[in-house]
This record gives sequence, C-alpha cells and structure tokens, in this order.
Amino acid sequence: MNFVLLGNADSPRVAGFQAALQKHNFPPAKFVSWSDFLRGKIQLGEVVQTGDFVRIESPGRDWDVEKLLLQRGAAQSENEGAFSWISHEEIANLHFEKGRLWPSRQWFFGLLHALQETEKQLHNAPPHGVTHKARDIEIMFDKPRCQKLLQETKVPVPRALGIPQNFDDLTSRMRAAHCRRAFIKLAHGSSAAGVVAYETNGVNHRATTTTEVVRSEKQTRLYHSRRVRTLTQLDEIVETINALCLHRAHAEEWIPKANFAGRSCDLRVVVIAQKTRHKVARLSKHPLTNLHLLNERADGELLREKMPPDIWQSALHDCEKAMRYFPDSLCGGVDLLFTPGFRRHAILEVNAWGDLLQGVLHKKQTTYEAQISALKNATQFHS
Amino acid sequence: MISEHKAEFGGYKVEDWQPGQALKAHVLPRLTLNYDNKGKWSDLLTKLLETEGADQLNGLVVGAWMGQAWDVSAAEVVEPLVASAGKLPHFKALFIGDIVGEENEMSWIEQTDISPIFEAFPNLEWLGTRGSDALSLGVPRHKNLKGLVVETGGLPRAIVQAISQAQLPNLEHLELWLGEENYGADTQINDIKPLLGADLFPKLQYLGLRNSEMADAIAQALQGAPILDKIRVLDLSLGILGDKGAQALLDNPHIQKLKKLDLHHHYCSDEMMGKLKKLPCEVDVSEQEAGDEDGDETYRYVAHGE
Repeated sequence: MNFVLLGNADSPRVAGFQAALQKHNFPPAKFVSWSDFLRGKIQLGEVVQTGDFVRIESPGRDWDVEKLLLQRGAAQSENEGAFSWISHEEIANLHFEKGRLWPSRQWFFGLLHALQETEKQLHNAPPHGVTHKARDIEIMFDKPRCQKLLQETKVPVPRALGIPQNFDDLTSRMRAAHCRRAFIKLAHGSSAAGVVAYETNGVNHRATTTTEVVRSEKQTRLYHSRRVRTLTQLDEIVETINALCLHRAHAEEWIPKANFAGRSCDLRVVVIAQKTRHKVARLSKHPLTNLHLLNERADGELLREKMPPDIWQSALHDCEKAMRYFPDSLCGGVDLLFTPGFRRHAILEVNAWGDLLQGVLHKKQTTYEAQISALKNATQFHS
Repeated sequence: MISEHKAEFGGYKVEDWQPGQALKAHVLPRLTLNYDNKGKWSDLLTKLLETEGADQLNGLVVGAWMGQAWDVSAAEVVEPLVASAGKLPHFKALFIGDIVGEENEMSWIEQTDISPIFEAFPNLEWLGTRGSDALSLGVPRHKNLKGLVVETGGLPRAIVQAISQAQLPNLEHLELWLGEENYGADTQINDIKPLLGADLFPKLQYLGLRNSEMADAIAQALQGAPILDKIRVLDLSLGILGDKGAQALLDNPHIQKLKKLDLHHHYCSDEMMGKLKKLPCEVDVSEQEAGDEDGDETYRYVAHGE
C-alpha cells in the first residue's frame, strides 16, 4: 500500500505513522507538509497516484501552520462577528508565545477551509482512498455539534448546557438544569486547552483549570498551562469563563468520575475500523484527566475487573456506536467515563486525532500499525 | 482530595446498594443519590427498609445525598434515619457522608446537627461523619459507642470542645481529622489537651488526631500525656508532621510502649524516618511528602484540605 501523508514535519504523529509503515514493510508515505499545502506550494491532486491512501494528520502544534489556519479563518470569523478573531495584519505581526490560546473559532474556520480544499484537490486526483473524512473531522472538532449527534443516536453523553455567552449566562443555564457542577470547554479546542471544571454550592465557587488569563490595557490574553490551578475567588473565575466564552465555549454537566488506584479516572478508547482497540486509563488527582497534563496512565484493560462484565461491554459497545456515526473515518479516539462505583458510563468526546498514544500497544501493535492492518481488510476506505 | 469510597467501616464491609438489590448479612449498604437522580435520599432509605432483611441490618453508610441539587443538608438524612430507628434494632454502625471529591468537595458537604442519632440508636457502636460545615454533635452522650470518627478538612474548635466534655464510657476509637485553618480549623493546641488525659475515655485504645496542620504541636503536647499509658495506637497520619514533631515523639518514652504509631503522609526528612523506624513499635512512615517551594516559603499541606 502507498500513502500520502498530510501533516507537520516534526510531528510525532508523522514519525509514528512512517514507522508503522516500515513495520508493515510498506514504503514510506509521500509526505506533504501542512505549511506547503496551505501556502499552495503543493497540490494534492498532483501527488496522489492511483491506488494511494491519503491520510490527513493533525495540523496542531506548529506555529507556522497555526498562523496560516488563522489567516484562512479570518474572513469567516469577521463575517460571523460573534467571537474573538484577529485580522490578517495582526496575524502577520504575531510572534510565538508558549501556551497562548489564539481565537479558536477562527482556527476552526481555517481548518474547515483547509479541509474543503483537500477535498477539492482530491476530487481531481486519480482513484484513491482516504482514511479521515473531512466532514468527520469537522464534526468532531465542533464539540456542541458532535455531542448533539451522539445524543440523537442514543449514545449516553453528559447533558449539554449549550453555548454560554458569559459566566452569568452559564450559571443561569446551570440553575435551569439543576446542575451544580459543569465542564466548560472551548467548542473547538483540543486536549485540555481551555477547559474549566466549575462547581458551586450557591455560596462558594470553585474552578479547576489549565487556563490563565492575562489582562493588559489593550486586551485579554489566554494561556494554556500544564499547571492545573484551582480558583476559588469569584472574580477570577468569572474572568476566566468570560474569556473562554469569547472563543465560543461548550458547557455540559460534570458527571463524577470513578476512582481507580486512588485517582479520578476516565478512558481513552481508540476505535479503529469500528472496533475498540487501544484503551488507556487516565488517572488524575484533579478533575482534568487529559494525559498531557502529566497525569498518570494505566492499562485500560485493568478497569475491566472493577465492574460487572455487562457494564464494561456496554461501554465499549457505545464507543463503537459513537464511531458508527463516522463510518468513513478509519480511526477515532473516544473519551469514556464511568461513574463512581462503575455503575454507569458516558461518552465525553470523540477526537479526530485521538490516536497519539505513544508506547501503548494493542495486540502488539501501535495505534498506527493497527490502522494499517485494519486498512488492508476494510474496503470502505478504498475508492 | 478524597478519591475512594469506604470499603469498610466499624469492622463491617461496605458495598454500594441500589433499590432492587438484595441485602447481605454483616455488610453495610452504601446509599448514594446519584448525580442525575432527581429524587431524595430518603426515597432510597424507604426502599431499603422495604427490602427483605432490612430489620437485620447492622448499619449503613450514607453516600452523597444531594444529587445535583444544592442547599440540601444532612438534615435530609438524619431526620428520616431517626424516624426509622424503630425498624433497625440491630443498627451498630453509621457513617454519614461517604462522599468523594468527584462528587462534592469535603468542605462543601452540608452537615447538620447529628446529635439526635445518639438518642435514637442506643445500640450504636460506630458513628462517623465527613465534612464540617454546620456540623454539630451536641455534647455526645452514649453508653455503647465504641468508635467516633469525624473526618473534616477543617474542624471547628466548638466540636473539639464538645467532644472533650463527652460521656462515652465505652469509647475505644476516637478519630478526629483536624484539617486546615483555611477550611475552618480554628482549634488551638489547648483545645486538644483535654483529650490527652486518661479519664475522659477510660477504654480508649486508638487515638487519631489526623489530617492536621498542628501535627508537630500535637506531637509535642503528647510529652507526659496520660492517655499514652492507655492507648495502643497513636495516629497522627495525613497531616504535616515534620522533624520537629517527630523528634518530640522520639524523646517521649511512652511512645515506645505503643503497638502502632501511624505517621503516614508526613514531611519528615530521610534521616528522621530512619530514626522513627527504629522505634520498638510498628511505625508507618509511608507517603513522605515534599513541601511546595514558593520563594523563601515552603508550604505543607494536609492530605485532605478542601
């Protein structure tokens, strides 16, 4: 099999996929960098040959690509006029700041624009397969939309509290829903960037977050940090949530998580070709369980013993059910939680690029090796 | 943050129970109002009492009673329990508030005056609570109580003072989580001293002054404390004990007569841990913590503050 890989040159995702091809004795993928693609230096239609598979990897964690995507999203963001955005001139003058959260709605529009362009270019290419449908990536990167679709397909998800305009709107939504704890996330964020776990008892307030707000005379800047902070001062909480709402935020009820090895835990379940494969338990001392927050991890299979078999089976079944909504995507990373005592489960998110799990094997294969194996047998990805 | 529910209390195993499930002999059912349950905790109790074998229950553990609601205090637990006492003749163990951090912050658990429990359950042997907000025990008076456990992130001195006037002639196990000043711990070392006398609880075997910011001062106050001649287990775990307090324990000849000294979760140095391990009693010095450095200051935290 021959692959064309659209990604970022220094990304461990690209390295991981190339290594997997080598393991399978396939030639290395023809690599197209996002930055060349976005600059129009390379046309996918000219790279792809008959019978190739095209794999679209995450454009994340590359400053140059980030700016190019923001440029692409500027017009649509300006047109929408509802959320934070920055102009072409401002983007051109930006310099890299570690952890800075740029307008994520604009980034999302840029991503959509870029994905549509991949489809246009591939439309004129010789017959080929694709592993990640642009339409699926678009839905998965729109958390409110994705959650609504899952709910409609009867997958258990947290109750949505909508898209709050600001802190006051959030709390009135919480009151209306009889909800004293909520998660607020950037609607188009990835990993734990721009996530707040907020709780109140009507008198006290508490927020656990990775987001730091830096206010200057001219502007409010948001930063993502690996250091998880707990805010108890109402004005700080209001400021943080208000700032996130400007980027378009999604709010949902905070379902308590089960405990494993003295930590709150949830699971990342990688679903490949409609089957659950790699399972990683993410263990945390605080409510945010994302792996890159230096949380501990454990083999997800260890959780199986903590609950009756039917609970485990039905949870995995729902991970597959969630991915059935995306039949044309080879792989998705499903975030799954169990409630305390492992009584019930819920699907938190489906991540388009949720397969970067270094060192995690299933049947002796990395997530990338398993995807290539599955591709050999699955016909729906061949055109 | 407390992350695990209780697996046992008062010598009994604890297991989750939901309506429809059978009751097991010698197991305490834990009744938790799930986060999405719109009913009341008392509905669960009603269902429990209708279940076969409920009249043989040895006790129960009250999990989260508030669901997603706020402003629901433990009064909604204590009142129906007291009203049902006649149906629970073998009731020996009760824990109110087995709530983990994922369900509610310990400092936000809305407790209540639980003193009516003492009168309603004369055969009770173990009583435990978690959370100090609005908590009152009255002045505990009970003939049969063997174990009293008060878990908090900050214990108000009024409760310590009330316990120092308690009449609990059969008390063998007294466990107080004193907590942090930030979360309401205003107990002073002088409030603790009455608990260290020999006459207050003549049958005491275990004294736990846990989860405390005052661990060093408590260790020092134990010098010459008559209680040490009675108890077999001294538990200063979960707190911020450092070398100063640990040295006071080493210098205290009565400590050596203990069966067990539990200091886990502490800030002692490696060298001090070595000395403690040489004591002739069983010593738990696991969970050595390092303070958070911030400029010139080093901060030490109890295991369960908020």
